[in-house]
Amino acid sequence: MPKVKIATEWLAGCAGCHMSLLDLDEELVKVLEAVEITSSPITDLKHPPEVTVGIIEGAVANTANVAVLKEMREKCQILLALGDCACFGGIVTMRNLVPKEEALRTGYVDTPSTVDGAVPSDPELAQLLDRVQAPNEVVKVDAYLPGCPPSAAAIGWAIQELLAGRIPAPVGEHLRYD
Amino acid sequence: MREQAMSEITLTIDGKQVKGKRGDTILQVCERNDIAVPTLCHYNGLRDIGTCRMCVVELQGGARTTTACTTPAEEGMVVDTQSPRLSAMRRATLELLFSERNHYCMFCEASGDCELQQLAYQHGMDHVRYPALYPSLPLDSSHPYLVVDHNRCILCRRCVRACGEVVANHNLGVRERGIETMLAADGGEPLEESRCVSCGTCLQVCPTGAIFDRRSIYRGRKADCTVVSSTCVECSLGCQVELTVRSGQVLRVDAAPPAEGGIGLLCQKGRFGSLNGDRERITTPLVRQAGALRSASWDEALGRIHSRLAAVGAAGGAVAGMASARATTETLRALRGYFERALDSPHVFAAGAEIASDDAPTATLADVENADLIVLIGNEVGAAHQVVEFTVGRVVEQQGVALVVVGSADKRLLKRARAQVAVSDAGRPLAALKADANALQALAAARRPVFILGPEVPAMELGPLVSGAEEGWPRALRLGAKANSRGAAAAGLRANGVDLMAARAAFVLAGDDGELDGALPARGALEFLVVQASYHSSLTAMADVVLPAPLWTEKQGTLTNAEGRTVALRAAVPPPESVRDEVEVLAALAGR
Amino acid sequence: MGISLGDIIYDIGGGIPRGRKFKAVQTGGPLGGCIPVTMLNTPIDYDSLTAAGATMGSGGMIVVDEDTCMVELAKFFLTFATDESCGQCTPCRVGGKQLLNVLTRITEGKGTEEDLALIEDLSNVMAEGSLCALGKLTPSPVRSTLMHFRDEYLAHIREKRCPAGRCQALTHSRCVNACPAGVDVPSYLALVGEGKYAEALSIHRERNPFAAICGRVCPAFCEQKCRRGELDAPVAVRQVKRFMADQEFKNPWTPTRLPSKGKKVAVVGSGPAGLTAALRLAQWGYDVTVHEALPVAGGMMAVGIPDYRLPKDVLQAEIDHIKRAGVEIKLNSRLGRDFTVDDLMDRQGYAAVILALGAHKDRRLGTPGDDKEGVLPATTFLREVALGNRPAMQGKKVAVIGGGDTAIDAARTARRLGAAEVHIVYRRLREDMPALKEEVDAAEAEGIQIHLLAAPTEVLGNGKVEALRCQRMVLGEFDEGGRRKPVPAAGTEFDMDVDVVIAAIGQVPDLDGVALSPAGSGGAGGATTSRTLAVDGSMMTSRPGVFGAGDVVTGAATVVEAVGQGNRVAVLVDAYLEGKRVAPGDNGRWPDYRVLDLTYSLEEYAGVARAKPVELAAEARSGSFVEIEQVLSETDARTEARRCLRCDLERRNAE
Repeated sequence: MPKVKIATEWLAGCAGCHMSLLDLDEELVKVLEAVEITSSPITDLKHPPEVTVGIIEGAVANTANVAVLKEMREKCQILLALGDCACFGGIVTMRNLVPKEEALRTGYVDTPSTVDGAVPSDPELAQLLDRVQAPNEVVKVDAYLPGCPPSAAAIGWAIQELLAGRIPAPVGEHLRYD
Repeated sequence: MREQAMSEITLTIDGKQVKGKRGDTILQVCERNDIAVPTLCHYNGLRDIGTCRMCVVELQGGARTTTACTTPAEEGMVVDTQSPRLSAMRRATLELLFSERNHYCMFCEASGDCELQQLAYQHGMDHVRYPALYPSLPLDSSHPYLVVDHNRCILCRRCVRACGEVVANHNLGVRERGIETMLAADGGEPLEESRCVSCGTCLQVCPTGAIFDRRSIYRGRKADCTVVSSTCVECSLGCQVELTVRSGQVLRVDAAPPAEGGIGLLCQKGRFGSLNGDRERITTPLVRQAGALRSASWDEALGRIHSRLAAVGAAGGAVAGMASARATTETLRALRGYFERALDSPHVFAAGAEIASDDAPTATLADVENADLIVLIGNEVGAAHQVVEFTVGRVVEQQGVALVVVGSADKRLLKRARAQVAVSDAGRPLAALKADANALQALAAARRPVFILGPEVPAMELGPLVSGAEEGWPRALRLGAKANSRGAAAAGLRANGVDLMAARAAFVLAGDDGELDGALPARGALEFLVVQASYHSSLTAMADVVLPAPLWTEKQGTLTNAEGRTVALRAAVPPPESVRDEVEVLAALAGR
Repeated sequence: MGISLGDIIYDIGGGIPRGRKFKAVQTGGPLGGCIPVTMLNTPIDYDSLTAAGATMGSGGMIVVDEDTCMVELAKFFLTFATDESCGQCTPCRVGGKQLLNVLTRITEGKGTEEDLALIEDLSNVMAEGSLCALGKLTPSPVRSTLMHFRDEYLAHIREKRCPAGRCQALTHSRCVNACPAGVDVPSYLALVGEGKYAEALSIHRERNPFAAICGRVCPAFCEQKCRRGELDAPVAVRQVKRFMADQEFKNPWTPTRLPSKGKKVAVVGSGPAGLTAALRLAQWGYDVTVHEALPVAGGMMAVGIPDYRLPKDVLQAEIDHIKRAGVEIKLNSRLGRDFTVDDLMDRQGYAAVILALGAHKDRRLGTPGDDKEGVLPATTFLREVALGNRPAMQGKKVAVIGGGDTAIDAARTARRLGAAEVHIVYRRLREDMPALKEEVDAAEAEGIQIHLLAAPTEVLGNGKVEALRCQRMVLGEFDEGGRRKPVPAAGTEFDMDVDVVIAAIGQVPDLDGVALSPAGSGGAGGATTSRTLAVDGSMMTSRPGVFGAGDVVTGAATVVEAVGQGNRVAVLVDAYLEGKRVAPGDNGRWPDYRVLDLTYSLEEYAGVARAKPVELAAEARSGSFVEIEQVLSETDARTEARRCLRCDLERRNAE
């Protein structure tokens, strides 16, 4: 049976969900018998080939996130949002509670240890979106596994569901927001 | 039998025939029959408003939907509480709520105990289909005990209803309308500046982390803690409490739900003031040496007490004893026993022991709810017994019961009083009462009058005042100066009559009573002073031997409350290692 | 059964002011629903209104015309309802706000396809779950407008366009919004006002290369929406345009071209749609060949519009511009007879084909005797005249059936060919005639008799036309288009003594011989609807690389609409050949709209009345085909241009 190809990516996230994925520990060995991880922050390959499952962590906060997310949507048949930030927007969206300019100024100019601060404006840098969004506001997302992070057990369960041909619908102990 | 049949109704819920009582709502019938229906704005003890829309049910096979909490149950109704359509409606409501404000479960102190989160889990909400609105909402942290975080408020209005319907304070309300609706205190002030009385009822009913208690946050979820039932000893009402305990610490005091249903009440002292972590705790016995107190073993401390008191007794000096009437009945009995048998001294009293007894049967708070006239007699009646204030206020407001105040009380009650009689003559309220025509008129009309008297009021003949009263009425609720005033009197301890400063030796059993600090202004003629207390104070600073005492949360025992009922203290946590219970200590002293 | 909506609105209410078209009527106030033109016969009673998706309320009826954006209207009512929400129950408090947010985004041009599903969902949630009727009915205006005006929502979402010209974020100015080709009207008017005709013309040509033609024949949708018209009279945009174009007549235009890409595109049809598309693609570097079946180029511009409205030399000059862009025009080359689509795509190396065949087939009269000698289809009649084969009309009595511009053109042409009597027979009222009002008036002034509320029932004669039997009509119920249906009045037949009957009751595309699919696969490709060529959202037919544009897709329309189609299909063909995707509302190849500085005082021109048209003296007219309308004087043109209120400046101020 050929291995199911998956790709993972992180957008505006803390990498905690990917750490939780790695917390599968020795389970990973078994998972990797059935799954091939193509591009991923773990494998450090950047652009996904055509894959069956795409897993994304993090919310959409800047134009780079949008581009990465759209590429994932295009290349992945099934897109799974991993963690609260990918499912709901999460912590990253706290920036929405203040005006964007204020957030940038607070971060780059007004910090106590900054001298002659300036908001970076290099054209190569990704632009902050006016509003941080949950990925499902930008592309269609097929499956969700909330958590901050979701436990390794929940992630393992979700992978098994996908391998069995089902879209994971977390309930009970697998559905947590904290 | 016929009456029962008439008041009983039968419905079909989820395909099963179930019984309910006439006057029930559909939700109440479900609750009687253990049929779980999701709710958010509903709370037993508060009037249902049907605004959250979680309890929607289908009637007559799906022809209509309605909220179970506001719809009266009728004989023969066919109700379905579960269906794909209902699940979809509930899920939509939850998603709308999550999108409305800023619900960050990952760092919220209520996560794990939050009713909104719980319902979301139950309905499998793994994402929200509506874009979040991200309003920038304030956090009100002005209050010393409570924080109001509007970002988590779901506008269920439980707190508004509790503040109005249960406590009759009407501090919390809402301002603006539509999506702009905001919970507001009084006229929109910070909570600390409003007319909040810090009873914490809002805190107890809030389903999310919108209103939370500063001191217990992040210290444990309900699943991590144990709950111990006990009694509050801040006043003589003896309200039943539930103590949340984790890792040998009491995190929080909550009101226990009353046996007959509804919402339990506490006041600021009981809910927040009773866990006083600021004061310096005495953790070992202390003896004075070369002018200063130093740690000692129990053996040394008890030895010194025994020898010194014996010496005073042998020299013919008087040994006096004082306890706080906050102590348990067992503790007070033990002290009296020690004095009478071991020290052969009659000079022992309990500060705050009840002295007066009126010519009417003792009223309970339930009687207050059933009265048609309430008469408060005393100075600032209820100020130290706020749950009485809340109960009287609610009864007067909701049932239109007449209220007469003789003396003074909280201005919220005065506003509702039929008559207020000023008592200029200290200790002669009766005369003042008889001189007030309005008051007399109310008294004459009363069938079930309840008198609530402050501890400073002398014994009164109440019967003649209310000639029209029914058999068994009037009833009197005599408020005690301390939690166990009645128990102290029953244990045979007087309230006063012993001058400690004139004695040669004195034993002060202060326990964890913070108000005994000034009981002994100076040593006077005392050669030897023992103080048994939980906290350092000016009293302990004067003592020759200090014995550490447990807190109320560390003690087992009973008290008799103002209603005359026996209420129990249960130790929720063990006292610190070198602290021993007073009863055990007194027994050890007596045994030497 | 109560009186109908249409009766109230038209008979009692007097109809829509300023001759505008009825669009919808809102009953039941902000919580009610709107009823569209197709349901004007709905009686005013509770059940009928409810069945129509509205409610009966105490707020009366709000009648809106074509200048109302139904999306913006729904948003307006929604704002009202959400302001009233008490805020207690979740579905109304939050759902209402969410719904308002979606509507707001759509009116700002930020709507997505998913938003329609979101509206549906929120509407259901609120209708089912709200505590009181306010919440339950809040979605009603949104639901009813979405049901009856879905196209408008889709225009906002897919094309970032507000057809009514209301939504500020999507409307540059009302004239620009109304122009099917999107010509930057305020800018060229401003430049004409300053005397900079060449620059003005250049801006016009960015979106419509036929300034001289449209300056003569355009129905001027821009003028219909001109806000100056709310004060006194609209700016005479068409006449200013004509002046501007005529000024530069002496300076032939050679459109700029990018270097050749080496890709070939074929255009079938040299009407305004085909030529515009050809021009754009040629300018962008493609090698374009236009095949034209007739011996002359120009499509309906050449063979549908008589010389007295559009002189041949003006038309030829405009066509020459296109040729100077490198476009090759092959005349007498007919699809089906001389070549097929397969030939173009498979054997002649064209990368794409645009079918711009127009709508040149007349509808038959449909009465007994309509095949007799002397019954002429209007387009055939006009075409023959244009090609120089004038049918004999001298002394004849002619009846023209129809009320559109084609009917008027045919009638006035017959007059000029010497017809003794010319009658126009139209089945509705004068105000219902689709033809330009000036054309109808001019026809009457030339002695043409107009018979209203009459329709032909039979052509009488022995082999050839001897008389036309007609029947009087009365107006009955409203039809789907909002006009009262003419109904034969029994016993009112009359005979008209005529020799010629010209049928001008509508043109349709002629799709016979159009084979889309590769040869051998059989059939005509299955891509055509009954009358027009079916294309998808990218204007492509069922065969990849074969596109459709103009009247063949839309049905018979105007020159400027065909130009708009030509612009659009050119962008799509270019995107197709480059492998790009075109986002909705993407200006693509065209420069952004400018907002030029205001160089004159608006107050100074506030009291100036609209310039009067200059026309050939009446005596000089009816016998000849000489152009009737003359150009404005320079002073008049420049003054007229400055009557413009420069609505586009609001855009700059808004930023």
